[in-house]
Amino acid sequence: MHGDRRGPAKPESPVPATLKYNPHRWGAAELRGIFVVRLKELDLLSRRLRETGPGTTPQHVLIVGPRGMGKSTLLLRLALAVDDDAELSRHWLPLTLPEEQYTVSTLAEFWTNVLDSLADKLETQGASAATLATLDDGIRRLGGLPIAEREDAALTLLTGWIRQDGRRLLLLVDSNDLLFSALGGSGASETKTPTRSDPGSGPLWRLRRTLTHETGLFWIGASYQALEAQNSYHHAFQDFFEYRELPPLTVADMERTLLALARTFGLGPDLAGDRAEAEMAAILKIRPGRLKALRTLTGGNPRTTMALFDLFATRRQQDLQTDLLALLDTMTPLYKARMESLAEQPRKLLAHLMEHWAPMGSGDLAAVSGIPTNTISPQLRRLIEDGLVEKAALPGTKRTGYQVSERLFNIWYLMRFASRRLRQRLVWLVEFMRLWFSTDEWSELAVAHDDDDELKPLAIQAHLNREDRELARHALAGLAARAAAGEAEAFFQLRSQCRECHRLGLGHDLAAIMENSAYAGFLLPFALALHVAATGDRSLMLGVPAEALDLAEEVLKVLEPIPQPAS
Amino acid sequence: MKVGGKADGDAFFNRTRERTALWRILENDHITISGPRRLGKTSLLQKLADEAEDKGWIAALVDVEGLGTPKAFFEALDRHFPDVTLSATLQRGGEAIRRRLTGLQKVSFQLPGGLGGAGLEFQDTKEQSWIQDARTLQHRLAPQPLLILVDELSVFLETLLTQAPAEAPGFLAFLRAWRQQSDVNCRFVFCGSIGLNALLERHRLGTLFNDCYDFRLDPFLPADATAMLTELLRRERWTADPACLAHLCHRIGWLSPFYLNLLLMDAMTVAEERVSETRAPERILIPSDIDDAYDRLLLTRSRFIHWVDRLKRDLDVPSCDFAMATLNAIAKSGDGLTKRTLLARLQKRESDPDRRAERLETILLKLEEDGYIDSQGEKIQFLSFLLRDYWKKNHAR
Repeated sequence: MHGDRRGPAKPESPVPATLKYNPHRWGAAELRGIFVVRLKELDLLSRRLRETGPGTTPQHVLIVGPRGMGKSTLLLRLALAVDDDAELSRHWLPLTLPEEQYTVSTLAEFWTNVLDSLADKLETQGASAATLATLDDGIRRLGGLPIAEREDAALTLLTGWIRQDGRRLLLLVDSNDLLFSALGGSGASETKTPTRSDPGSGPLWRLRRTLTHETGLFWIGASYQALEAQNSYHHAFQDFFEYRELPPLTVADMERTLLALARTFGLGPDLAGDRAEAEMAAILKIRPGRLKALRTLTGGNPRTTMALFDLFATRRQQDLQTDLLALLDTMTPLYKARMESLAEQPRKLLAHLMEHWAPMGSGDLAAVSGIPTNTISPQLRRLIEDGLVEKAALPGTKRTGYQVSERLFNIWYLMRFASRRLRQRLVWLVEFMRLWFSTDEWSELAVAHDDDDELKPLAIQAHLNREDRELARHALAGLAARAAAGEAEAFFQLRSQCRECHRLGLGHDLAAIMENSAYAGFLLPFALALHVAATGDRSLMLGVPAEALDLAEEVLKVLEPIPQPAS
Repeated sequence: MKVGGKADGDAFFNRTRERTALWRILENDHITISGPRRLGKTSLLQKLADEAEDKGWIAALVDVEGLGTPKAFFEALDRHFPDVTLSATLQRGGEAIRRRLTGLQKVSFQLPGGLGGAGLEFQDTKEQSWIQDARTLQHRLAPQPLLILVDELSVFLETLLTQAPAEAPGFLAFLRAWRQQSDVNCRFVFCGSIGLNALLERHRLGTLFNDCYDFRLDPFLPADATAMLTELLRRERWTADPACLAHLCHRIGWLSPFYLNLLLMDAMTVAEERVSETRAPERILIPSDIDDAYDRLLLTRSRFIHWVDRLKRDLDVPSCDFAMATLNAIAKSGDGLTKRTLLARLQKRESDPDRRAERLETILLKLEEDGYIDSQGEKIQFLSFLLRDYWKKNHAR
């Protein structure tokens, strides 16, 4: 498998590309139709609105999660939920403030943007020309005021409208951290240690003051991170928001999403609605392991689940490697644009993190990139703010490491740009996934092995028991080579041997020879799981790619706890 | 349930004893409400504002965070007590306000020539151009039965001391003179989220602010905490037995409403997941939900990193190192250290015993005011057990 190989030509997707990655382009019916996960979060936020009585200040909320986790979609769906509900819409007017508020650098500009959004919303609701004219006139007059007066005047205009109309404003603020960073002044966010003289602290404290006391504004923001350190704005909003983190989708969530997409967009010109959903259900049922494996590759990211829809919609039963290539092809325009939008140094740092494919400390990153440590830190902060990098634990140290936050993005890079050796590791991992999740093949093999003792090979555990490591290594090498090439029988035997060795207390020994094998990359999930199962020390899982971690967790589920001797 | 926002309406719980005491004190004194962060000082100010008219006062909560000059400060006061509103309120005022107005003596208003013993001359220079407007405001407001609730004064002062430190003594002296004016009828209540006393001491301005009654706000009593938790659970359609709530309080340690709510909210999230997975029939919170939620909170690094950052921001490097060593020693101890033991543990940081004791006193004041520790009891310990456990895990070696 080569980095420049492309997947099969794909048929036209039922979901136009412009819609796939732009929830803002979905119509109301489409949004209602495909919003089938995150229902708990939607219900919670709706309840918050209902429970915030008039004249009381809301508990403002920050939705937190990496790119593609569905933050923007949740905000949009909440706006729709308010508009759809007679009781909620009597008390609340949702204003969606777009993700890219590039022009905002002052509070005056922000409040003016809110006023513009208010005018737009009122217009869509059919407000009278007189009402709109009054508001537009007020907004226009702001521009004629001295700059120092605009902020208070804009806020006064806004709160005046709230008092007069009786409805309160639900501010749905996408890219909250970028907005706060801009309001705080870009210089402030570059400092390593926040100082009291941070020039941007004033606007943020004033915003905090407004949100603390103004009963007519409910702020629900979306952020890549929970206002992490090294940014001056976190002092103003320290312990201010209720954080709601969006977790990765489970396999069941992904299945529900795919069914909803089929129902909403159809599976072709002649297959729509319930029939399309039934067809998708049938496709998913053919190889249930396929979705589980893809979930491990995509990390349960909703945006990439949208891309998976194309794979399943083609109805072709492809192997996982081909699936992966097709998926990466679909994501290429987005990922390519992302890389190209970065300046040279952050792009270089991101590329090194991707090549490392595991958490990495800033010192190691400096060494491999040739960029000085004091330059790396602000660049990493910016990459974290942009949601491309996240912090992660490093093994054996309390220092913080960094890794790429979106798994599939990392895999995309490896498949396109990494060395042959590194790509081989990835190919092996994908093959491991395919074999592990091919549950329909297990039952056949299990039955066959139970029936016929002669099928059982010379066991690795027998060699290890006799402390004949050389023979054990040889036996392992043969099995691993066959399993890495895709042979289910060999993989099944490896799995059985792991369980047996663990049961006999030989897990460590087997893991050691696995780690020294030429197929160590393929055997990594087995080795990790054996070590952790033997010691109970989960810190051994630190410092490895997230995909390998997930697979090791799967292996751990089949390794029974070793009974402890009675004391 | 509030986890950081101001608690008003039915989100406000308890503090009955405190409010009774504050109203009594206000008859004769101005007040500074002190205490570590996250105790609900802003919420308490709001409650006082809500109750003020029944007590015979016209109140406004003036939040001065984000302001950075004396001019802006007094403009904010002016905006919150507009003449037209005051006149209307006094005219239509209820029984309590009428009673208070009857009791007020006619004020022979005299502006101070000097300032509160601080030895500063009060001159209307170009550098202090806010003074004339402030005097006019003082003239207008001082005779009225006003309750001026100033929130985040310490944040304001911190900004002022950074951006225009020369103005700070004059500003504080003016306010002091206002408060000490004979027969002044209005009352000030100040509070802030960062330690006011430590800030003033650091800048040698303590004598300009030592005339207010220092009302120290304490954490909830166990019975009050339990009552709040029970009601919050009821609203969310959960129940918990008293032992479970006691366990929650025990894990939190210092019963601040913020930390109580934070752990409760996360515990309900954990319980929701458990009930969903196990299909348990009843929504009952159990101790393991609390323990799991506590562990999850400890992993949320962003909740705690600012505690470290604040030390780096506020202190020079040697003092910061000393503060970190102090906190590390206390965190490792579990249930706190006596001052004597702590001094012994810090010997490597400062070998001279007198100097070490002096440095420790300074740091303890800072750490206590900023909500890290409690040093009132026999042992010095972290206020928040969450912070203690985070510190132990990530900093104490």
